[in-house]
Amino acid sequence: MQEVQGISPQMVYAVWRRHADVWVRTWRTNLLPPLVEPILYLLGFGFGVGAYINEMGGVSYVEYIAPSILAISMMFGAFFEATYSAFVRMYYQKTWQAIAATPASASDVLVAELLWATTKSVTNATLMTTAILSVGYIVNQPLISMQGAILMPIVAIPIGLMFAGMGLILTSYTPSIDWFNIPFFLFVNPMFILAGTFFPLSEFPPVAQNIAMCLPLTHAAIVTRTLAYGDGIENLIFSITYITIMTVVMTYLGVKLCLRRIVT
Amino acid sequence: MKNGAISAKSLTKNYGEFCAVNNVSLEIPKGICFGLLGPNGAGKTTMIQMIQASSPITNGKLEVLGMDTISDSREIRKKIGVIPQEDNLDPDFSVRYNLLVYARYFGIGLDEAKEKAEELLKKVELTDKADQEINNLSGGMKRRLIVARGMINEPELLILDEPTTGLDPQARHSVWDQIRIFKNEGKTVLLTTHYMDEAEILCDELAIMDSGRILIQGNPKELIKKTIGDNAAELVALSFGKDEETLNLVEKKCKLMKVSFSRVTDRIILYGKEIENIISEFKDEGNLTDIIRRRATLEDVFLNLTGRQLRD
Ligand SMILES: Nc1ncnc2c1ncn2[C@@H]1O[C@H](COP(=O)(O)OP(=O)(O)OP(=O)(O)O)[C@@H](O)[C@H]1O
Ligand SMILES: [Mg+2]
Repeated sequence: MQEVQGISPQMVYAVWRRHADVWVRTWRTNLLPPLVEPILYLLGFGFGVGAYINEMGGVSYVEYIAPSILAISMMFGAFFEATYSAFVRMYYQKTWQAIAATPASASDVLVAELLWATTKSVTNATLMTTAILSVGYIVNQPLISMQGAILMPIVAIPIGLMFAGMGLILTSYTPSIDWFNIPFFLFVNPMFILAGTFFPLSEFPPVAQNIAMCLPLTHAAIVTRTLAYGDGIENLIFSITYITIMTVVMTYLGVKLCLRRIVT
Repeated sequence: MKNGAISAKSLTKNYGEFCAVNNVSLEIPKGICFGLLGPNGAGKTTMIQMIQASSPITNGKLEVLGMDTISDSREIRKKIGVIPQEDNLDPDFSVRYNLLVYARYFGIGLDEAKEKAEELLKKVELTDKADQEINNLSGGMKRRLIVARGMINEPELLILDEPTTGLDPQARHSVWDQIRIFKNEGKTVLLTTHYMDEAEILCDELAIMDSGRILIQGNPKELIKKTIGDNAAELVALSFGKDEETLNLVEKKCKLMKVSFSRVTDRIILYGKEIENIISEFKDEGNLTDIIRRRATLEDVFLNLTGRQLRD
């Protein structure tokens, strides 16, 4: 059993490279969304809705949502990859099954899934940060601090891993690909609105604030917001602790539960 | 047998409560082509998944190429090639790139992999299709590509799970050729198939499984001789109405005279020395549409052992 479930960095890389190769093959269509989406959000919500809002949480509305959409894209990048895409590879394309006949182990495959999902988070964060900086440059209003822009891809790593782990937990359970719509509808989409992303948590009644503080996206958004504003990261202790613990627990559970499903 | 390719001792595999492989002991020497036959659900694929050390065994001991499947699973997979029952080529890549990506899992460098890929594509006659997408291939081409993929690491043991199911005769022969070439290099082949003629042609030795157990094992020719004899005869009739009654009569007679037989939908197949006695009794029976005398085959052994009921 030890060896069946062992992890070899070289094999993890080989599996990760397979996913990266697929991405590179279709790079044009893959680059577009994370570059175009933030521009739409900033235009529509930031400048459009923002025209009716003087300020939100002490900054202009467009500055308020810039870090929010970064956190959201880190979440979606990893979560989508570890759910829908991973399930397609597991169930429809039988990619995992094909790899099971090579020296790579099932654990290698799952760790590579986590890392690949995290990679998507990081590329999303990088591309979006670039897009947001460009928009800021055009409208002559820096939307993210330079120091924050540099750190965004780095914080996307733990944030991406956390959501990748949660995604794998769902993948270990899902009976069909359509089933993912349920957690997306009940959990991801509400979080999208309620995590202090489009309006500050302080506007919520206390109960809702406490609930929001339990949501992973809330903490991801707190981190990206603090970095974007160039505020001191000493205020982030709680969120970083939350993300660290969640990352460890979720990735561990995700791999363990998926192993139970595929190693039969 | 110390230098065997595969050695299973009291091997058992449970899926939950269900026992898919039940206390199987099997020794496969190196350098032969071994066939694993059996009806649907017999446990052939389960055996293969344990041999490739990706599915943990429940009980017993299993050694592949002298290595233990529990402690040396990676090492085992490095040295074997597996052609799975289900098509699991990577639809995201071209034909050639499928081989290159697969080579990476074996730690083969890109230059070497490229060389091997060209060589293998030529071998399975897919050089023209090297840059095609997988979805543009026919079933037979996919199968040949999977065979090529299974040989990318120059395995010592090649495992093929129903490699020719759904192939046209040409493609079948092409796969058979690959198996023969591979075996002639002194390497070992483990093959499952539902085609008895294929097993008879390719296998030096085979085992017939049913419901997770091995029923019989040996050289195909000897197995036929031992269990069936040289000859068989088929009494053919429709399997309903009056004809069915006739078949029932034949069946009764066989039981009475202790003649071994198999009943398959529209016919009864007779084996052994008493064939002619039964035939002479029924040759004027108007409800029998045909009486065929022929050489006994592996299919007779199979039907006789596993019975006529359909599996799911
Ligand atoms: N992962 C699994 N979980 C539960 N049961 C399984 C699993 N895999 C196989 N089985 C069961 O084990 C039995 C043996 O299956 P297996 O796939 O080994 O048969 P097979 O001999 O390869 O059949 P076929 O000729 O149809 O391919 C079947 O009853 C099957 O339903
Ligand atoms: Mg099978």
